[in-house]
Amino acid sequence: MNEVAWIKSLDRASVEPASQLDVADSVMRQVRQSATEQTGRDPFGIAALIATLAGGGAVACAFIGWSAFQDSLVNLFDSVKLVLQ
Amino acid sequence: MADEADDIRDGRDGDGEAYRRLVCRHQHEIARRLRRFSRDRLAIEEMVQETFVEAYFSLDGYRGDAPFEHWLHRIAVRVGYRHWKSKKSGRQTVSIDGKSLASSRHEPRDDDAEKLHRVLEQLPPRDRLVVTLLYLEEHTVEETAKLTGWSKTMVKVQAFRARAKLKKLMQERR
Repeated sequence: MNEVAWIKSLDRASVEPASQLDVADSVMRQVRQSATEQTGRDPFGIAALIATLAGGGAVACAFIGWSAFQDSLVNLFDSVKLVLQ
Repeated sequence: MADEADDIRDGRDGDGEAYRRLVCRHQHEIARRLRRFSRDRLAIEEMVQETFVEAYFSLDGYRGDAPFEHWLHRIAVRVGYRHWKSKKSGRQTVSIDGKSLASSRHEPRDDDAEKLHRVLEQLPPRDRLVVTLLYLEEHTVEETAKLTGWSKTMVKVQAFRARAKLKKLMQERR
């Protein structure tokens, strides 16, 4: 007898009583519970969206400010350049 | 009586009663299949629950190109495999109602069933899964690949390794 025939013979000899379980109520209870937990997590999603929008706004303002920025030292070496010329 | 396709559609739309009908229709077959993964009555019950809860939240992914029962069976195989892996890693399983699962709730002892269980328990979960699906449930390589999500080559390689380990176990027990 090879190993597959051996394991099959053990399986055939195993008595398998009919199952009498009923999980419908517990499944539906767990489904409702999980759905409620997911709904409870939604405010965090909204907070995350608000934070993202606020962050995006801050980056946009910073970029506009940086683009309009006048460098006060831009003419610092003008006199030196004049002498070198 | 509502048609299964209607129940699936309504369940997807959030109709609890329709989904309950699906659970009632398939729970015994899923429990029968999950008996392969444990001899503990409460562990089986927990796995059946887990299968149907996972199926509920994945209903959108059911395309209807295979019978609903086959789709459920795939989920059940994943749940059963996770059960073996968690047992192997030594984590304690806790049922939904919060009761811990002790080993004293096994089905009444039956020599060959117990022997089979002990032999299979010595195999790593991957080997055990391939032996269960391929040789005990007598699925084809293709069906086993679909059920496990492995490639056909992977199934064959795993089956070859599992058979070598089984052979060793058989010789040790003789």
